[in-house]
Amino acid sequence: MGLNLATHTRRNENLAVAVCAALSIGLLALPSADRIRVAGVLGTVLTGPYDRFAAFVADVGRVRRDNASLRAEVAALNVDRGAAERLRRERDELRQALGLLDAAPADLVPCEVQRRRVAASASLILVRSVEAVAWERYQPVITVEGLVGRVHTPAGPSAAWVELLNSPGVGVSCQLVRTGLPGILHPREGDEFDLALVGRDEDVEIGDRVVTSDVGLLQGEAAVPQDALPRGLPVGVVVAVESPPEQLFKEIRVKSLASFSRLDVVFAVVGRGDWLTTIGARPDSAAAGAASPDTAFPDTAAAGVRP
Amino acid sequence: MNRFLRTTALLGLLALLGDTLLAPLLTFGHIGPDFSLIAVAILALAEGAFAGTVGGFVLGLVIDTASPDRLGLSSLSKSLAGFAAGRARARFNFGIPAVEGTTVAILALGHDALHLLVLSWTGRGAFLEPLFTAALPSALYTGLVAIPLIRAADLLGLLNRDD
Repeated sequence: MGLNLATHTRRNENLAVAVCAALSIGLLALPSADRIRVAGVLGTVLTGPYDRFAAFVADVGRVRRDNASLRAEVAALNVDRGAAERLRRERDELRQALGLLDAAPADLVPCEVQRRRVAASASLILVRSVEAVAWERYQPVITVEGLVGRVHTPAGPSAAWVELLNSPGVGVSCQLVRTGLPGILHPREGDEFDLALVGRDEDVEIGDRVVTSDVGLLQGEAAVPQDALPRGLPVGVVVAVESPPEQLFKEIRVKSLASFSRLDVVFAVVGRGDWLTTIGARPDSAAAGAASPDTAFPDTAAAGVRP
Repeated sequence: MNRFLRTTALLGLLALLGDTLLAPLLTFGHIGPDFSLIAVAILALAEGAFAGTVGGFVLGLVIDTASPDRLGLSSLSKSLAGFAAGRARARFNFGIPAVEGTTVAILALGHDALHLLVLSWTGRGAFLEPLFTAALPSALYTGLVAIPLIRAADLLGLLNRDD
C-alpha cells in the first residue's frame, strides 16, 4: 500500500483545485502586514531546509578555497622559515666564533592566564602552562608584543604566580636599542613607565625602543634584581622625554608594547635564549683570532656586558 | 520507494535547481524559462490532475515566500496550471515533441496571463503590453526548454502510465 494521488476521481480533482484556489485567494486577500508574516512562517517551513543546505554548500566551497589559499601561504612560510633557519645558523656560528652565543637556546612555553590578583603591594597573575616547567624566580614572561612580567612564586609544576611589570615597586634593568643607554624601568600608570637613571645630557628620542638589559645597575644601596632577564626582550617605546634643569637625570616616559589589561595567553621564557645575551664562553685566543670580543665590540664592552 | 514520491521529489528538485541555478543563466532581459511550471506540468502529466494541482499549489507557495507582497498568486496560478495539465493528460499524445512543447507553452501563457491579470486588477502593473512583450516570448521559451525535459522524463519512465 502506498501513496498514490493519480487514482483520484474527477470529483476529488475538482475539490482539490477548489480548495487550492480558495486558499490562494485567501492568501492574496490578506492585509499586507499579515501576508508578510505568513510568508515568513511559510518560508521557514518550506524553504528553510533548502536555504540552510545551500548555505552549507556555499560554506564548504568557501572553506575549500580558504584551505587552498592557506596551504599556499603555509608553503611560502615554510620556505621563508627554512631561509630564516639557515640565516640563524650562520649567525649563531659567527656569534659562537666570537664567543657571544648563549649555548642554551630559549624555549617559549605557552601559558594560560587563569587568575589575577591586584593589591596595593603587587599585581600578580596566575599562569598555567600546558606542560611542566622548571620555574625559576624572575624568569621572564612575555606576550607576542613584549615583556609583561616575571615569575614571582611557582605554584606547582605547571603553574606560577607572575608579577606584572606595572606592579608597584618593580624595577627592571633596560636599555635603549638605538644608543645602548641603560636605565631602570619603573611603573608609572597603566601601561606607562618611567625610565630612570638616564643622564640629562644623553641622547634619547621619542620613538626609541626599549628592551631588557642584563647590565647590573645599582639603585641606592640595593642591586636591582634583574639576574634572570636576558638582554633584548622588547619592553616598550619612548613616548615623552624631558630634561628638567634642576635634575641630573632625564624624565623619560615609556609606553609598554604589551597591554596589561588584556592578558589571556602569555609565554614563559625557559632558558636564556639568544636575545643578545652574552653568556657564551670566551673563545680561545687562537680560535678567536687576533681581535678579542671586547675590542671587536667596544660598545658592549664599555656597557659592562659579560663576555 | 513509492513511485509518486520519487516523481514528486525529482520534479521538486528540477524546479528548485532549475529556477535557482539554470534560469539566471538562460534568462535574457525579462524573458526566461519557468522551470517550476515545467515541473508542475510534468508532474500533472505523470500523476494526474490531483497531484498536479496539489504539487502546483505547494511549489507556488514556495515561490510566493520569496515575494510576500504577491503571496498566493503563484500558488493559485500553478495549481490551476497543474489542474489543466492533468486534465489534458487523457488527450495527450506522448512522444511528439511539438505537441509537448506547445502544451507547456500554452500552460505558461495562461499562467503568466493570470499573473498579469491579478497584478493589473490590484493596480500593480499593466496587462496587455507585458503580455505580448514578456509573457508570450517567455511562454514560447518555456515550451522550448520543456521539450528535452519531458523527453527525459519519458525516458526515465515517469510518463509511462497504465491508468
